[in-house]
Amino acid sequence: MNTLARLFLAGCALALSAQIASAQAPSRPFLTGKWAGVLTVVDAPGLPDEVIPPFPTDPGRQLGFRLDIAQTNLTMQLQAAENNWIEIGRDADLRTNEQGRTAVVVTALGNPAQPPLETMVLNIVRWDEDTIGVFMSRVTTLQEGQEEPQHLTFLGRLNRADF
Amino acid sequence: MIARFRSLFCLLGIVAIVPIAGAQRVAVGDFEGNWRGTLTMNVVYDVPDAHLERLSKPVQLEIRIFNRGGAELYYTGFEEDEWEFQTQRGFRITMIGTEHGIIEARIPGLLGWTNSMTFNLTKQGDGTLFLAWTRLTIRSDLLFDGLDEMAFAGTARLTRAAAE
Repeated sequence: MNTLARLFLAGCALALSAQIASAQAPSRPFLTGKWAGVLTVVDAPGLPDEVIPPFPTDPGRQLGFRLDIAQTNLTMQLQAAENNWIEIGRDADLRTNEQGRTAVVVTALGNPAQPPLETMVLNIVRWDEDTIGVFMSRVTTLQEGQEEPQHLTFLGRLNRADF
Repeated sequence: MIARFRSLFCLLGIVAIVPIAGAQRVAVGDFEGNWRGTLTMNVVYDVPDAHLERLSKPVQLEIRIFNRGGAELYYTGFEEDEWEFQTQRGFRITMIGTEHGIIEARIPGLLGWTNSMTFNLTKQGDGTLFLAWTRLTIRSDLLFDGLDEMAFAGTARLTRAAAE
C-alpha cells in the first residue's frame, strides 16, 4: 500500500514539475520579435471604397505594417502617414502556434463578451531567419443590419526590424 | 507529519492535472456539428499558369466540429464531385467568445510542399457560419525560382449538413 502511495505521489510531483516547466518554456524562436514591411489589401468584397479606420479597404492599396510579437502579447502598427503609425492590439488575447516553417497567430480585438469583436488571423510562413510571409484575415462580428460579417484580407512580406 | 505532506502532495498533483485536462476541452457551443458550403476563391497568387484554372475553381467543403473542440475537414479532390477525406484528424478549433471560431490546419502536400490553412468562422444571424479562409503553400526546401510559395484566400457561407 505504501509503495502505491509513493508511486502516486511521485506521479503527482512529476505532473506538477512538467506543468511548471511548460509554463516557463522560452518564447518561440522564429516569430518572437519585431517585424516590419508592407501589406497589400487583396480581398475586401462588399465593403465601401473608403477607409474603415484604421484599415484601408480598397483592393491593391498598400500600407506599412509593423508587428511586435512578445511571449504573451502582440501589437500591430498601421502606417496612416509617413510618420504616423496607428497602434492596435496591445494587451489583446494572443495565441500562437508554430510548426516547422509555418506559424499561425490568432488574436482578437475587443471584449468577447461585448461585441463587436474583431478576430485577426495571421497565417505566416518563414522564408529565412529575417523574412516572413504574412497572410492576414480580419473578420468583424456581425452587427445589426448586416447580412454577413465584414472581412478584409491582406498579403505581404515582413523583415526583422528595430522600431 | 508525513500524512500532512502526503495530503499536500496529492493536492499539488490535482492542481497540476486539472488544467492539463481542461486545456484539451473547448466549449464549441453552436459551432458543433457538420457544416457544408462552397468555398469561392477570391485570391489566387503566385500559382503557375498551368494550374491557375484548376486551383481557381470553387471547392465543395465540409467542416465537422465536435463537442470537445476537435475538427475534421472534407473537401472535393481533383476528381469532380468526389469527396475526399483529409486524413489528418488533429485539427482543433479555437473559440473566441461565442461568435468566432478559428481552425488552423497544416496539411503535407506532394513533393515536399506544406499547406498552412486558417479557417476564420463567424456566426451569422440566420444560423449559418461565415468562413474567411486563407492558405499558404510553401516548399519545405526553398529553390528561390519564384515558385516557392502560393497564396489563396476565399470565403464561404456554411450551412448545417446532416450528420453521417
